[in-house]
Amino acid sequence: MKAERIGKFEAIALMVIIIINVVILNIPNMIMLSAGPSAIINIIYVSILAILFSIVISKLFNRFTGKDIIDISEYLGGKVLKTVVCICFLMFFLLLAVVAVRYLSRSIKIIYFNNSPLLYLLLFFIVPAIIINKLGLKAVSGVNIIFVFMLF
Amino acid sequence: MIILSHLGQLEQLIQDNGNIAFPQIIATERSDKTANHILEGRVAVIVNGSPYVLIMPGVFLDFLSSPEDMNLKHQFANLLKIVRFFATVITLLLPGIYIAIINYHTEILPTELLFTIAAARNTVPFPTILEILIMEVSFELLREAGLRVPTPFGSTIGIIGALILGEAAVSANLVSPILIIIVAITGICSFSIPDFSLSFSFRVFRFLYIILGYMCGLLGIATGLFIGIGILANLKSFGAPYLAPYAPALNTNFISSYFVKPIWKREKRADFLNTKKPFSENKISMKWKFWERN
Repeated sequence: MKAERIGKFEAIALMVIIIINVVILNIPNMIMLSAGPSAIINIIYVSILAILFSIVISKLFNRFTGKDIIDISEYLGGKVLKTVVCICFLMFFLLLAVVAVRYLSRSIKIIYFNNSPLLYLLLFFIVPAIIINKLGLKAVSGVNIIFVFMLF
Repeated sequence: MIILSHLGQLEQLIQDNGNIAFPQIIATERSDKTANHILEGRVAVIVNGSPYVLIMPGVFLDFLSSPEDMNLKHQFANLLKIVRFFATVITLLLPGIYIAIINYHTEILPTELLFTIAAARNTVPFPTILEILIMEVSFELLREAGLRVPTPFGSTIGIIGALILGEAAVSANLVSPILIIIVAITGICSFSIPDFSLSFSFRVFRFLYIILGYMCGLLGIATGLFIGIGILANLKSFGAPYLAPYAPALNTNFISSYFVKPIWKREKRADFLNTKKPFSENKISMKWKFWERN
């Protein structure tokens, strides 16, 4: 497979898109449901924990500059650990993607498209995902950077 | 052997991707535009016997820019560019968004407006998709007829078509008045796109967005935009990324970014052109103003 690289702005745009989805759209609702009136203090606790975790992870990564988690697992446990980590990652992202797409399609169906079958709505997520992945990482990052401009 | 009788044929032969409707080479008759682009570091091709010049590489923003932008004060030029950008979005998406809202997302309209639209559509026997396709095809027919007849009749046909046919269609309950407004706004906005080829490609893609809006509402339109921008992000024109300087994000401090800077700040040439001389001006452009006599 051809190796493609993206620039600093594209990487930031990818992260901003994910952060906007998770932090602004999902987290407040989840915290309000789970913590109720103590939501604000919970956010402070979670923020402290997140900062601590980030510091620990960045300190650990300092020893392996320019390498990702798969390279590090190969360094630690050879090809066996690398394969195990790869499979775990693949399973995790596949499960996450399947659950997220199914959940979103179900929500959209309930709100807007009561008469449409779920598979029809799923196609509107799956087809663009296939096309964009066929086009490559540059296309993904390009779309993201344009949509970040639109969002702001 | 291929016989070239017009520059348009050469354009189709040398462009990077012939399957994509968007223009990838700038075609112009204007000498000032050609000179500006050459000075910026692009290449112009002139064919004997043709009044046009092909300028390459052409990125998406070039087709949204008018040569007058460079001559106007930057405040005026930027206002015009903002208006032009909104006109471009409207001409591409307005009919699709209208059909999506009417069919699937009526709750985003204020109640009074919803009642007005419902009352206007009450007497129309056709579904919205048919209604909008009838109007769009009629508009395209009028435009084409206006081009083919002699010039004095062209404008007359446009006015007669727009006023009399539109009024008659509403009176006969073939289309709703709100749809006439939608199609008219879309048509007016399409005339504000400076490049004919880009305007043409938007006319084609407008029908696609109408169908997507009808198929799956705003989700369909978002899907279309996602795929469309993805294809454009992957496209290159003579090595220059088509959505440059925004995707990939390059240095926007040059003449080819969408919004123009004051003339004394247009120092840097476009990054994606890879020019031998990256600067087109000195750091201090107006030396006569800031030069101090010792």
